[in-house]
Amino acid sequence: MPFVDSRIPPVPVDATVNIAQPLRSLQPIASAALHLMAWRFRRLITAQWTWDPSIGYGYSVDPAGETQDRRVRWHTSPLARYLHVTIVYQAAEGGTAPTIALNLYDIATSTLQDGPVTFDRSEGTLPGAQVETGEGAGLASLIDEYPFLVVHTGTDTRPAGDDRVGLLNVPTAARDEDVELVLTPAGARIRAVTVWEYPTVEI
Amino acid sequence: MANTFSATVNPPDPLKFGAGQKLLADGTGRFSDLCEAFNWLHAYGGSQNVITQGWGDEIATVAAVMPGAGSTHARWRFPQIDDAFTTVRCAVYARFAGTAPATGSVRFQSTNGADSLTLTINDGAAAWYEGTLTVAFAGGYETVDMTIAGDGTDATTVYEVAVDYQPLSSPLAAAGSSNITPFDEAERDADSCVASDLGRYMLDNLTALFVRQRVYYQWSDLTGVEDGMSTVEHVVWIPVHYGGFEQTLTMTVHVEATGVASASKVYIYHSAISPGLPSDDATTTVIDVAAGAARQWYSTTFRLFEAHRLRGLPHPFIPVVIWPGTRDVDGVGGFSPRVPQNLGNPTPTIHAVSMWSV
Repeated sequence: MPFVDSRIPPVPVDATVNIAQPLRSLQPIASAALHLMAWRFRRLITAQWTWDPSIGYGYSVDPAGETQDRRVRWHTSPLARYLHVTIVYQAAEGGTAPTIALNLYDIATSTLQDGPVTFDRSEGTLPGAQVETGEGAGLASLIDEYPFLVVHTGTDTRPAGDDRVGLLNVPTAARDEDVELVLTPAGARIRAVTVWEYPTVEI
Repeated sequence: MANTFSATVNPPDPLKFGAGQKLLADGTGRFSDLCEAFNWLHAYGGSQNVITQGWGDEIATVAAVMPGAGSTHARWRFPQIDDAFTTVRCAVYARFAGTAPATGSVRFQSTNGADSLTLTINDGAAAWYEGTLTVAFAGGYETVDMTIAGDGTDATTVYEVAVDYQPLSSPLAAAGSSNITPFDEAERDADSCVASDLGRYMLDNLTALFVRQRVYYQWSDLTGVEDGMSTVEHVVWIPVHYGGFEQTLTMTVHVEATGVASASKVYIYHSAISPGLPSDDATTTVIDVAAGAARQWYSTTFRLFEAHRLRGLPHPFIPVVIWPGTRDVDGVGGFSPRVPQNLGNPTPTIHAVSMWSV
């Protein structure tokens, strides 16, 4: 990035006067800094839980499913605005359609910051959300032997018109804070979770 | 002369820095914000989780009764992001099954930092417990062990673990051994000079920031409780973003494994999920574990993707599949990683897998 280098002569910075500009622009540096703030350093959290085949993993899940909450904890960026959550889970065969509820809490105050966002899977279709199943979906082979499903918080079950639809909201009070995302499954086992912050950067 | 910044810093506006424009000191997105942005980036850039893991009820409760110091139960590695980050915050979501005044404990130990942290776990409902641990780096990474202990009678259960670099506080320390040079207010003032070294520091800072590493995957067994990674696929989803800078993403993987009687392998499959990608974007990386090898770390690197081949595709998440060896063939074809059939090949005992990248 050879945009500005040590050959630039000292130039006064003045609040009102149009000064002589350096030989080259600072614009690329500002662009790079903005990129780093907005995208490069947004938080990414991946979590996977140990699975024991002897309790049915990979073959079947009791329709009652996994009932233990899963928790993902991290310190949010001051610029965090939304959360994109990807869940790898295994649904029970038979029984009712599994659901996974997501709730975001501020740990210090135990205050609910957003949620519940509830995934409700029925007959292989999760309303509004991406489900990677079947041939041609890109994960077909993966599910041949050990079936699992992948969902993104592309859309949730909240009504249209809610500006939070699609992603979990990180309100101002939950930015630059320790938070936990609590996942409550019913009729499904959660295998892995990826949380990806989306920033708000307004100049 | 303090190197201050605000958590809610205004980002710099590139449009305010075009050639021929006034270089104004103050105002939203202008020069003072550009300087402060570098301080902010130093404090927050990469200060995220380096370990995130939990265990299911069936396993965590078995892990409970561990009186005394015990032996190491879990182990992870993670990278250094900058010399300025010398501690990590260790948090566990845990409970102790006994009754007060009895307590359980969870102990963290850093290998290079030679520090330890013992968290006292109280009776009652599960809760978060946390403390800080000093870390140091040899070879660019630190290794941290975790030990769970009850009181000899009742159990301690750890459900979740979260270890992260905490953001630096304002004002920042002087550069010192850090790769980042912070800026102070005097350098942003109107009517002061834009010294030539300031531009150079900005470029150096950018270079240092762009190579800060990010942890993408952490997994550890509970040694003595739930030994080894189960011989099924373990999938992690790697999000991809196109910032115009990341043309490739090269992963560093560290695997701690114990060999078996004959030679064995660890397979790492990686691919792009979107149809239409060339098949050579889906490959397999193999770690060989020698026959009878003692428990030790192995490391390798692999190229996860080239950004220009993914640009414009929806849902840019890439699955990486980790699997104790099952067959000695390339298990990936087309754009989709294919889980190999279990042909009964020897599988090493995988104790830990850590994966990170710049």
